[in-house]
Amino acid sequence: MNADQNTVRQYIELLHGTVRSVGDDVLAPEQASQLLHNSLLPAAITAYVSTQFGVALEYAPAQKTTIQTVCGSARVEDLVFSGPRALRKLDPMLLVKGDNSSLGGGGTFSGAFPFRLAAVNCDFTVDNFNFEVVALGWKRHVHFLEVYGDRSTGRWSAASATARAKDEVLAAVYIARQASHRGETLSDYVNSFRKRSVLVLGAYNADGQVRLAAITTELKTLNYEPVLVADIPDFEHYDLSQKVVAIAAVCRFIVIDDSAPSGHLSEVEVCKLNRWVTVLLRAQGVAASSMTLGASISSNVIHEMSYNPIEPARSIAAAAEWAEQRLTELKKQLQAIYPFRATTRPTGEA
Amino acid sequence: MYTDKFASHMNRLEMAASTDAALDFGLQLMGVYSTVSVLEVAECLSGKGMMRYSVDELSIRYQAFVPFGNLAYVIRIHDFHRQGVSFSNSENGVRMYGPGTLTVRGPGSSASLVVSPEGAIAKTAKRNGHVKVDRPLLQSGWRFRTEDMADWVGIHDANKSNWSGARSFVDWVMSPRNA
Repeated sequence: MNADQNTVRQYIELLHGTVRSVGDDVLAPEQASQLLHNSLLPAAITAYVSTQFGVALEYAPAQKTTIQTVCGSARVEDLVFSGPRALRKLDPMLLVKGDNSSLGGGGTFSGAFPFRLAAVNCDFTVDNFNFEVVALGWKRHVHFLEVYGDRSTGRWSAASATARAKDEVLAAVYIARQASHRGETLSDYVNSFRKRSVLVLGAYNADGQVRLAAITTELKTLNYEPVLVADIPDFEHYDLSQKVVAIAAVCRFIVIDDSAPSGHLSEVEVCKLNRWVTVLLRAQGVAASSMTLGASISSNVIHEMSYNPIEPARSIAAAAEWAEQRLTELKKQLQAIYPFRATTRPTGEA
Repeated sequence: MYTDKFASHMNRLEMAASTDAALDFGLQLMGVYSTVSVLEVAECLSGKGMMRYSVDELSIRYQAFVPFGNLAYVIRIHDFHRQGVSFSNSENGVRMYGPGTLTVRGPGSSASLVVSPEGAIAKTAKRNGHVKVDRPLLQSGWRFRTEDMADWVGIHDANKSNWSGARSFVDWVMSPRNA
């Protein structure tokens, strides 16, 4: 089943309603107003629903928030960039492969169709950009636009709207809470967050908490900011592995206490899947499960090592040194592959 | 003789410029084609074994003689193979020869392209993301820029420098010792 105009309209209403209500509940007013979907309002929101391919949401500044829907049989990019018939026959300026990609900066693309999504699982965000084809006398400014290849009802369901809204608020809450604990301004904290944060995973039973405390203490002495999953606020529609993925993605590296069986066994798999730099620490060299043994054999971003929970200082220092060295090597190797990174500071690089 | 013909062609272009804006731009584009064609003819001769230098050596020498050789090359492929380069009133528009690609694989990955109002291009990819821009040509009215250029250059200034360099390149190519 694919979403129709009413489904998408309800999604938009629920998304904005949830961002507003949850944001107001857990954030200071000035922080809540900075949430993406709050900051875009008031706006004239146009939902483009294609019966062929894709859904798009466009926000244009307005005095009052309104929602209108446009439905058509053309691809969603053609619904958004309606113009002379010849326009849609032009090659695209950009081809978007995958999700979580964006274009912005206030520039102008000239002489081609703006962009196309390559597949259903692609999405694309355009923030303040101009498109023109001089030969056709066509010009278009986009204030803010989200385009999705997926138009299934599941993607545009009420549950999806709520989850996305809470995802947006969760990240803001976490960063605000950590900044507040350290007595820093939010902007200062964001600037240094990725350079210092280390996600620490492991068992939360009595013995496990003692080991986690020992590990976090040592990381603090090394000037890192250890992050425990328990630090992250819970939301009704957010499960534990979603929280781990959300936070691990913005941490410098991950340390897992792999000394006793716990939920971390599935989190190790998440780390493997995402190729995050990860250290598996085992008290006295005893692994929680045979499932995690040998993880470093097939991955050069995973390191297995033994440690003494009573005196973990040397082991934690060695773990951090390995992680930093690996991150440095990865940076060099990737810069060699992608030369533009040498001149462009990647997101997340402090 | 060949050098004289080439010089005469370029001189006519220079004289015709400034009579009419649209005509001027068209003539400037012709000049771009002529600039690139001298390299292509030389490469053709090299490929047939009629010159002692390889294509790569010719290309290196061409870049040394022709200061905006790469710009001429990029303008030509955009004009010939894409939509055609026309005069634009827009400030700092960016064209790409083929579709640029924003590729993202897996959770936690991202790819973003930022083009400033001044035409500066910044590419950011995280984890398994990849941004590729395909031979971007930046245009602001009569001025052009490619990614390897530090600043904008007017089409007239670029062509004048290129034509002078192209004449020297033709002289060098046609000298008997290179045959």
